[in-house]
Amino acid sequence: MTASAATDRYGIRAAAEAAAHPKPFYRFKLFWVLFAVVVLVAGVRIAVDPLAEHYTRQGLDGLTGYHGSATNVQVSFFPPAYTVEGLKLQQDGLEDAKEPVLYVKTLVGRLTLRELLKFRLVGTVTAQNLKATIKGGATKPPEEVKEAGKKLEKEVIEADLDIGEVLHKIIPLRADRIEVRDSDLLIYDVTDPKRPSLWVSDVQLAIENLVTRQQLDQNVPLNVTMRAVVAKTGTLKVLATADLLEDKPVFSGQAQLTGLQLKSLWAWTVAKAGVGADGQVNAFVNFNSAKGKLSGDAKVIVENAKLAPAEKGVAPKLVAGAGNLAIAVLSSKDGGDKRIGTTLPLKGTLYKPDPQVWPTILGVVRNAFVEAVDWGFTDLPTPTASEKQGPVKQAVEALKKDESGPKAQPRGGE
Amino acid sequence: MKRSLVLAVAMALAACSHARDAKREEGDGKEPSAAKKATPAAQGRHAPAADRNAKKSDPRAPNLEGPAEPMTTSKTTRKMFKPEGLKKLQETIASQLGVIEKKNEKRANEKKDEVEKEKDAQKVPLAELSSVDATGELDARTQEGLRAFQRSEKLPETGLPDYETLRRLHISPDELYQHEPPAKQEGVVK
Repeated sequence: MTASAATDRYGIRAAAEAAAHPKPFYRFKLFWVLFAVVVLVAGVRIAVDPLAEHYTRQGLDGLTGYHGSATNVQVSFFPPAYTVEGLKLQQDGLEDAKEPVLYVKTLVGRLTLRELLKFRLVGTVTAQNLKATIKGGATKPPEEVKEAGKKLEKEVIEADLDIGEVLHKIIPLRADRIEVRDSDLLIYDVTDPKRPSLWVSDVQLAIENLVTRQQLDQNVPLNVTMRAVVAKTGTLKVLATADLLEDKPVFSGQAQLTGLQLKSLWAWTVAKAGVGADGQVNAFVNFNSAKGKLSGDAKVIVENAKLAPAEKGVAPKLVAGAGNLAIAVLSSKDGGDKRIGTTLPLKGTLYKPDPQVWPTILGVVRNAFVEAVDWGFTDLPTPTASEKQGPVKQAVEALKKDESGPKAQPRGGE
Repeated sequence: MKRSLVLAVAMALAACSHARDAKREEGDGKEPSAAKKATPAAQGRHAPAADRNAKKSDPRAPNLEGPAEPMTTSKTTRKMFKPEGLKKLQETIASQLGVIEKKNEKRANEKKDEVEKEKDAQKVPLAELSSVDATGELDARTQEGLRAFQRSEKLPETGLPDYETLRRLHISPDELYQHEPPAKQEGVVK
């Protein structure tokens, strides 16, 4: 055997030749596999944004009574998120309206990775710089404005916007947490020809555990926390927890509105009561519901209230004068401040709350002549009488200084 | 001679006017204006803690000493929480106050568009917070500490303990919240 034959036998020559003339990279399978993956990823990346935009547009077109638009839609994979920018919703037939019904600068849906591993599209929806217009109206407009109101009432009925439906149509995930940051609400009464409005600004809201606890193995109830500024002066705070797994919703919570200057509601009070008001309002609401029953209290404290006639004439002056006289009689003095305060007990069922009139009236009288109402939630909830009392017995007990104040009355027969 | 006399009279008048202004500001309950005060730096020393805080104070910030803005809690709302969980929350916030302040300073200097600048201007400023005590109550200091933390983390600034805020503070929501709403407890709904 020659030396060259021996070299060929062990493939050394072939190896040497291969080393001298290497295979071009495109002849490797691995190269083509990698190339295919890169092309696929790039293709998906390029296609996904227009697809998402198409999906969002389709969702917006499918809304009833509204039409919408978005300036940009983006999808990111790390972290998995769906972003809609410049979302605008307008009511059909009201294109010339100054403000859209809903505008969101940035709406982001983020998937929870832990849930994604279980093949569940559950996540957080965040709305930043949201502006919403809420159209409300008195159920019974005054006789003289009924005709003018009729046309506008139609607007309210047609404006029944379902935010849940909007979210579901444009963001393809089940929201377990909804958060709203730096947002504004404009509430106005369209059934009143003067269209009084109320601004709620700097809205910060978090609603969590919306998807059932059983599914998410959570050990805590649904939670709502909120903070907002009402009419530029009042601070509104809400804290509530709820269990929606029960047949009838179970929830507990409280809401507090402090420092609301009545001057900032001038247009509203003029439209509703015909007089302008000055002073400060603080309100504290405590609520609980279980087995379809409702139990709660609303405490209102008005400080240094003063009414002024909004229009020329004897009648507005008389109304304002009578109001100021009542305020003077029913105010208690706390330092330099004049305070009117009372607690309104709420009993009844979830769908038919029954505000109790006598304890409320007696609360005003007690605040004026016996003992001033406490600030805050310290004395809430109001104690409930062991058995139903008549107005006279309620009055006698409520005006005793050593008693805690008017008691809520139990509902008979329930 | 005449010139020096005029100068002396002018100086005396200026001194009187300064004293009158300072007195008027004191009467109004205001601090003498910063421009008129000799700065600690000008006096060749570091600003003491009180002065540093005075620089940051904003009249729109909530007053933590009075019953002004933070939420008080009703008897039933208190039953939502586990007191030991609230204490843990307060200790955690207290230990992170320095970090939170730095993060918020950094956030304030971030580049922002016009809408964000407008929104920031609308926000209620944060109160000065030197400490958070472990009282086991959702008190004013705890709420303001939470709000500062939420601002630093770009979470909704409610000042109330939502689950995501707790998670980012490395506290499990069930360490703070009871398993069920208080309404489920006997005697709450009558």
